[in-house]
Amino acid sequence: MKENITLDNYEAFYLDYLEGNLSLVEQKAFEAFLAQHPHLAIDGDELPVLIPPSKDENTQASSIDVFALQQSIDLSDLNAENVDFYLIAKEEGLLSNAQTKELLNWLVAHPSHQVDAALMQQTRFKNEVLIYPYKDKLVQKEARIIPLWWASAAALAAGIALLLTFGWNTNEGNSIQTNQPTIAQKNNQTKQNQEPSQTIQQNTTNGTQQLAPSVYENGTKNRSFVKDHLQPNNTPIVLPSNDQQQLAQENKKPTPKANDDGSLPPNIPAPVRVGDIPEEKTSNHDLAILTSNEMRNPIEPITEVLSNKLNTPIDFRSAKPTSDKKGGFYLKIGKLEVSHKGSKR
Amino acid sequence: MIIAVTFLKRNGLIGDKCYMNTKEYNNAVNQYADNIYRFVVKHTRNKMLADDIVQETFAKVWEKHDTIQADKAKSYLFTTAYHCLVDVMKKENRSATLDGYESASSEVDSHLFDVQKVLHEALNTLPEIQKTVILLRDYEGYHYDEIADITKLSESQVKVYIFRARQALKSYLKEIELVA
Repeated sequence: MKENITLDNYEAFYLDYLEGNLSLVEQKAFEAFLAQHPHLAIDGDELPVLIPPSKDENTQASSIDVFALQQSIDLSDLNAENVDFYLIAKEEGLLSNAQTKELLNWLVAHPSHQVDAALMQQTRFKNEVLIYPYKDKLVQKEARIIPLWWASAAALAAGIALLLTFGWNTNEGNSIQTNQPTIAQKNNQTKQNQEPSQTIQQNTTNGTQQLAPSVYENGTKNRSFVKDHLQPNNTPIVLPSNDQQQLAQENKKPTPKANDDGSLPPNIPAPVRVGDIPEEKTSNHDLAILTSNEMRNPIEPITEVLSNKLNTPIDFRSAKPTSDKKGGFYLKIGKLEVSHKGSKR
Repeated sequence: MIIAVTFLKRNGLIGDKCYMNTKEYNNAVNQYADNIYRFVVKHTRNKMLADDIVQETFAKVWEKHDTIQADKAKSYLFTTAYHCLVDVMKKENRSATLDGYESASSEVDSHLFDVQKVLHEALNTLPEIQKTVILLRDYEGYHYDEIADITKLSESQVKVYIFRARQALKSYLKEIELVA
């Protein structure tokens, strides 16, 4: 440590202590000095003035520092040596109106110091305009700000589109289910239809075994046909015209004839019995998933408008499920992507 | 819908503007670019270097603009500019006189009257920290606490440095014997 800390030079150490310029030894020495002089303890970073400004040139800087750190300025100590400090305080706006007046009165009484006052006024930098020539390089491209209601409407439109897509999937799934009987229903139908089919076969027997439309062979329609169009006593009834036409179409097909020995021709599959009906199996693996190229955008005008307004690419596509492929939807807003695979038909 | 609205708010496209959006950033450029440029030019006395520092300052602010409150843009800009300035000064090991200063000074202050010209000469004799606080005080009108925030000093230190700077400037003017 260069010198001991005393009451004459502690202010300089104080400033260095605040700025962190003291060595570890000096810090401890200064803290020990403060402990010995508790009335010099720092309160809110302000150092109370206890020592008047020294006349020694070496401590001139510390004198102004002491003055600057005063919590309140007192003009009772105003003299030729420290008038600069008060002039600086005046330029910094730290004097009250009364104190300013008192200072001016002192300057009138001491005209030799008026030059100092004028020079101190000159130390303020005047407002000077300097134009930065490359502001256009700093400016960022601005995204259009849209009102909150617009964003809400856009979100609502997207939600409605999603609901419609889900609605398609849900409605079609329900309709499919209503058209397609469950396994229990199929079994019941099979039991109900078994006798009628035998009856049909018996009734049509006239030497040649003419096969009625097989209950199981052509699938659903024939099952319902047999069930709907045979009375409990198995007496055939008159068919509706639509069914007649359908039956005529089916009868256009070459009617297979039995062999002479009564056996079925080789190209005619044997009727499937109840126990032979395979259970329905669902497979998620053998169904192809629709790609976004195979989907279409049902709200293209809306997405176009939104894209233009938000300056962000917006894409929405959906597709109905088919027997071969699953449906679903695809939504993209900027970098945000949402997709959903629906159920098969 | 909630996610979409939150996303748009966060990017400053709609609704609340707690943080700087692009529009507010551009407003800050138009309002404060000249001030930042003036501050740096007065410090470095080098327009080309000042241009680099200004661009770097705004680039850094743009990177973090969505975390900066719009009403604190000015102080954030000056803080960033000050730190850039300090980094540049350290890197290039500059003192009160800079490389290229003599050729640049006449260009920088050519429009000033005599007293202000001399004052700018006096400014260059000050230590960097005193130069900073005086420029922030006189050109930008910052209070001591605001200058303290920018320079990471205490308010007392700012006050002391301003007093020292004024004293030094007055002494320089007295030596030149210029009277207003």
